[in-house]
Amino acid sequence: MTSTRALDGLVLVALVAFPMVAPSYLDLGTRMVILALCAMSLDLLVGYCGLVMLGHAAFFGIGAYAAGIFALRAWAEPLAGLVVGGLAAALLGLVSGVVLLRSRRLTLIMLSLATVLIVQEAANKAAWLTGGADGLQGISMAAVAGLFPFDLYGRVSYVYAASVLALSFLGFRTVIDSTFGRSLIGIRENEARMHAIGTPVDARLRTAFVISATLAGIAGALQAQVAEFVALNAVSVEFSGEILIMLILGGAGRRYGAFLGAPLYVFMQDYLAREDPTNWYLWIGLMLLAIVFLAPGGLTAWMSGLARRVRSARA
Amino acid sequence: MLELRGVWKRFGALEVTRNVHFSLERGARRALIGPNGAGKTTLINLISGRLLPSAGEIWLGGRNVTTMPEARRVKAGIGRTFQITSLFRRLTIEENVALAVAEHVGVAGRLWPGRAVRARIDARVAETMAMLRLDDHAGRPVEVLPYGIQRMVELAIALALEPVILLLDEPAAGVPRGDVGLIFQAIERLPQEMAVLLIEHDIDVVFRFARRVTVLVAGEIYAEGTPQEVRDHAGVRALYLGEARHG
Amino acid sequence: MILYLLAVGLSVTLGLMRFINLAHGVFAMAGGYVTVTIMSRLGVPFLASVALAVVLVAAGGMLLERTLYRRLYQAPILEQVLFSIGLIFISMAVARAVFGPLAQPIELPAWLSGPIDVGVGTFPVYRLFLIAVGAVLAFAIWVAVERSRFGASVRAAVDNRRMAEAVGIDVDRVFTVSFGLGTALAALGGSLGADLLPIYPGYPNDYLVYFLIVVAVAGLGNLRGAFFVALAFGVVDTMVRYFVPDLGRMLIFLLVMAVLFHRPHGFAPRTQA
Repeated sequence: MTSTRALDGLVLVALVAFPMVAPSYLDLGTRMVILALCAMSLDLLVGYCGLVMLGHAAFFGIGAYAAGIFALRAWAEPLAGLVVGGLAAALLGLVSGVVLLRSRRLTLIMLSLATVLIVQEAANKAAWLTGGADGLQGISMAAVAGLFPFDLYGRVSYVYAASVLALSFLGFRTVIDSTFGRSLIGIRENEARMHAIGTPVDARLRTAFVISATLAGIAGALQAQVAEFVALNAVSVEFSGEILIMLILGGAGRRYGAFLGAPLYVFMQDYLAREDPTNWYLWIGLMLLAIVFLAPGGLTAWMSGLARRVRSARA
Repeated sequence: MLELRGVWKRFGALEVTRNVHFSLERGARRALIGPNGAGKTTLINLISGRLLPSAGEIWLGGRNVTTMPEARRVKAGIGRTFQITSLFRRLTIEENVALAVAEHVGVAGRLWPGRAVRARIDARVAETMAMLRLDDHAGRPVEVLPYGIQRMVELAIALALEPVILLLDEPAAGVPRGDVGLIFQAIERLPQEMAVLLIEHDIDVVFRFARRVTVLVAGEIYAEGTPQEVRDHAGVRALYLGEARHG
Repeated sequence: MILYLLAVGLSVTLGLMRFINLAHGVFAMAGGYVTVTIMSRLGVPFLASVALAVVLVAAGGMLLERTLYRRLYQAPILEQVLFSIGLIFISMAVARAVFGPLAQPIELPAWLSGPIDVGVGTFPVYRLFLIAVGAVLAFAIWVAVERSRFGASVRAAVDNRRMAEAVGIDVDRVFTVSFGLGTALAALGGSLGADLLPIYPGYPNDYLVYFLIVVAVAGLGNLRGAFFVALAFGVVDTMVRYFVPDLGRMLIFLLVMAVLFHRPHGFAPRTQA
């Protein structure tokens, strides 16, 4: 318990340390933070409930659009926008959870893809509201809580996003360490037996779905506010896949997976996009095969395996 | 307390359970025997709610539970074990039992369980494990444990639910001879007021454990009575005991 | 109908072999590219090119099965998904590098390109041809998989590998062959349908959801069901596009959701395990 607490602290330290170590990469850092939040929210479903989904961009996207439209038409204060984005995604999570959670495995994957495509189509068709294929433009955010206006260097953006991530991580930690979180793991490990010990499995998964959707919606809202723009491809199958890849890269169901995976992914994307922009997909493809065959469980599993070996070598 | 009224179960054209009338009283020690394929496990699945009957009714403590889903029946007091071990293999025994305890205490859905609740769960887990003498293995993942111990964990999960009716589907199936005794000792120590329905092939065990025996053949109740009556029943001797002697 | 040709192959790997193979479209795309290349570079006629493409892609599929897929049969579904997404990405990148980002046009032979009068109206020959091929294939597959010893071996091997081995089934071979069959069907669909569903690098990704719909709605391993579902999907899709073009895609997905909400296992005949 003490060691997990120390590692939890390390995550927060890393968030604080980043701008000091790499002050000129703040934009990239903000992107890492937002995607880490999104991957973390997916982890609740993929890693803890054992539900493989390719539809997380639907929640991210609806959060982004809701926050963007809210800022454009109602109130440009960011914190209120986060709430709106989170609520919109929660609502979608609630409704889609009822439909999707009747299925598992392949059918669930297909339905989650279909959810993304429905939201995407809706955003595309409702151009009067969302800007359609051009994206939602012209957002201008007010100062956070009326106190901290966004600056040109992205300092406020980073601190704002990192604070939201830190708070969300505390929430996420509470959820996975709770009896509720344990029962999700039980469902992942043996759903049939959970029914036989009296667990209302569907209700519990629906709750997890809503929590996960809310966090993803908040991530989307952050993205919309920081970029002051929402692109239509925020709700796309490709982006859903990318979120899953980030999570897997770090390790699903392993507490810190999202925190390692998302930054690494963003870093590689940034690096490769500069060095070798045409073959980016080839590289992720190869990387995926490498993870599956060489390091199942992602980096965190690989590292804890390494740590175990070091420890046993010393003993 | 538990009553099945004319229950049928069909899979397509196959009738696995045919017109079963069956009841269990408080504190019962009942054995369910019959040749392979007689529908014993199906009957347990029907009682526990894993399967829904094609016709007939199931009553529990004066309530019609025929269509009640499995999870709700557990809350109503029906606990079971599985013939083929069904555990949370990658979790430790403690964690396995804790899942059942948390569910039974009604706190498994909580996001902020708090210290007091955790302590209560831990205490019940310790108690259950002590009752089955599982303490030695508490912290190890279930999948690395010997099969006999895994069967005990199977039992521990069911007991953690403090059921009013306990359904045991061949609790010693596949267990090495030496460990079978441990499991049946544990079963003999079960609380008196708990009703127990046991599927078991070993006739000696059945006659030692049961106060009443139900014989199921081809989905129908063929005979029912005290162990003595069943032993003396000519048809049962021919059908079941004869077979047991051969194999 | 083209959807049937594509989806039935997936139904073989997915339904029979229980492997979540999202990379199915990769093989269809490969079939299309090979056909186009052989036709334009070597001047081989259409049908011969298709046949050649099917053989080549099936061989490639079996090679992949032997080397990579095989190692993941027992793996958790997450790893199967990741692996197949990886294949999709790689194939997209390779396709783009070799053939460029644009769709590859396919030149249909004269006998397939005109309209034909069938009494009640005129239809393009090409579409009728696809429907005919689909129907013949549906019947052939039904015989091959559901009625033959081979089909029984595949199912036995999936249900209980050790038992199947014990009764003398060469499980490895059965899996390789059925995977080859799945990829061959994909390649056939991809190359025959190249005029309707154009072959371009985004192919495996963009059509993925449609294959999955057919397989999921039909129910895993329900090969006959896949035929009817693909047909129904085609009809509904055309109608929806015609009457409410603005909401076309959304409506059809919502419809699929509604169907699966009522029948989470699709239309597969309920079997008791």
